[in-house]
Amino acid sequence: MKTDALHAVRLARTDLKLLGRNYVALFNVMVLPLLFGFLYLQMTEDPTFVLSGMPGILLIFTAFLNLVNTFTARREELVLKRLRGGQSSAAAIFGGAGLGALAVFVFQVVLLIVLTNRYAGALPTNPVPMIVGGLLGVAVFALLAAAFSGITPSAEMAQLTPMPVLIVLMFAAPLAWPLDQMPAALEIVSRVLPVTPVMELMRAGYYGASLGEMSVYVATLLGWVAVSALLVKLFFRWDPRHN
Amino acid sequence: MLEITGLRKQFPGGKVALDGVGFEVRPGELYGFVGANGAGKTTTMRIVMGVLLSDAGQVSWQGRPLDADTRKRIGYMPEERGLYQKMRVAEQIEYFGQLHGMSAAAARTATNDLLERLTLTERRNDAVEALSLGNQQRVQLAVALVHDPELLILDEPFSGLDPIAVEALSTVLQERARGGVPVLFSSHQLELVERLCDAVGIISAGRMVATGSVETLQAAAGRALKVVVRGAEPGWADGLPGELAVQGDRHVLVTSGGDDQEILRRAVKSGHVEHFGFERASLTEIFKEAVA
Repeated sequence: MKTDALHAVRLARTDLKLLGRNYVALFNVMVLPLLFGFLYLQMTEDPTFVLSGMPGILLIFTAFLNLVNTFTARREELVLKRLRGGQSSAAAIFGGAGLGALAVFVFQVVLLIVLTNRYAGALPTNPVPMIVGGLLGVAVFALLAAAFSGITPSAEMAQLTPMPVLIVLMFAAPLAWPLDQMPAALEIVSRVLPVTPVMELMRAGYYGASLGEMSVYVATLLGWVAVSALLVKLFFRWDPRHN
Repeated sequence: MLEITGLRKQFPGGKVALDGVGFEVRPGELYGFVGANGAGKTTTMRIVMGVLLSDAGQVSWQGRPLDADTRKRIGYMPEERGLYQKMRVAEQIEYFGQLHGMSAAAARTATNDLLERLTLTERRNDAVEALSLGNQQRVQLAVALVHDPELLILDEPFSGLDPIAVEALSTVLQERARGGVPVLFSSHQLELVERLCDAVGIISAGRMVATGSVETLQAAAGRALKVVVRGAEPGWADGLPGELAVQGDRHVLVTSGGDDQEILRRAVKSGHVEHFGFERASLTEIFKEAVA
C-alpha cells in the first residue's frame, strides 16, 4: 500500500514533468479551457456563476483529454507494459495518472478562485462540497480517460477519439445557464452527465446548497465512478493495439 | 538460486506455449536461454516476472516462491523495451531506480556510474527519442541494473547492437555475475552465448530439450572429426560417413563416425592433408541437433 502510494507520487511527478515538455498538451490543458471560459463569460451578466462552474470544464481538458493522450502514448511507447513488469501495480499506475491530473486541477481551481475574487468580488464560503466534487470528478474523468485510451489507436488519434464526448459535455454542461433555465430535454441530459454534479458542487461552495441537493450530486458522481471503472475493465489495454 | 520447475502455460485458443519447462540459474552464473522465435523464452521470463500467470509449475528464489516484493529486487529487461521517449537519459534511469525504492541521491550516483560504464555520459541530457537504437538499448540495460538487482532477467539484451556495444554489455554482465548475481538472458546470437555463458538452456516448442553447462552439452554431443585435404582427387571420400564440402581446391570432410585411421590413410593418399583433428561441437551445432 505504502509502495503503491510512493509509486503513484513518482509516476505523477513524471507525468507532470513530461506534460511541461509537451507544448500541445500543455496548451490543451492550461489555455484552451480558459479560452472557452472567456467565451462563456461573454454570454452572461453573472461572471461568478460562470467562473464557479468552470472547474467542471477544466476537468474535461485536464483529466479527460490530457489523460486519454497520456495513457495512449504510454501504452504505445510500451511504458505501461514495462511498469507492470515487476515495478508498479495497476493501482499505482492509475493512481499516479489521477494524482498528476489532480495536481494540475487544484492549481487551476485556485487560480480560478483568485480570478473570481478579483473580477467578481466573490469568494467560496464552503470548501467541503468543492473538495468532494473535485476529487470525485478527477476520479471519474481519469477512469473515463483510461477507458477511452483503450479504443484510441495512437497518440495522434488521442486528440480525436474523445471529441464526441468533449462536445456533448461542453455544450450540455450548465456553464452559462442554470439547469432549470435549460430546455427540458437538455436539462435531463445535463443532469446525468458527469460534468454537471462537479459544477454544481463547485457552485455550492459559493452559493450554498441543501444537503439533499448535494447528496444527489455526490450519488451521481459515485454512480459515474462505478460506470467508469466498469468501462476501464472492458476497454483499457496494457498492450499496444497493433500487437 | 533461481529455480524454475514444471512451468506450463496454455494460451486462449489452445496453443501450449510451455510444457513442463524447468531449469536452474545459480549465483554468479550467466545462463543463456536459447530457442527459435515462439519457442517459449519470453513467456517463461514473463512468468518469472509475474507479468503472466502459469497454469502449473513454480518459480522459486533462494528456495522460496518468488513473490511481488522479491520481484522488485530483480533487474528485468523486457522484450517490449518501453521507455519514456521524451524523457532525458539520466533522469529516466534515476526515475526507474527510484521506482525500485532507491533514494534520489543513491539513484543519481548509480546512474552516473552506469552512464560511465555504458559510455553514455555524453548523452545524459538527450531525450531517449534522439538516441540510436543501440544507445537506447544501453539505456534499457542501465534501467535494469540501476537498483543493483539480486537477479538479472534480460530478454534479448544484445539484439540490434553493434560489436562495440555487445562488448560493453558483455563486460557489464560478466562483472555482475562475478559479484554473485545470477544472470538469465535470452539470445539468438549463439556464438555470443557460447562465449559468455556458464550454462545454457535450449527450448523448443515449449519444452526444454537441453540444459547444462556448455562443456557438458558439448561432451554429450560428442566430437566431430574434421579433415582438410588440398588438391584431393574427386571421389576420395566416397563411402565415408559425414559431409564433404569443396572450397576451391580444398576438400573439407566433417564426420562423427567411421574409422579415423582409415579416413586419414585415404586423405593422405588423395592429396596434401592440411588439417586432421577432432573438434567439439559448437553451440550452433548442438542447437540445430537439439531442435531438429
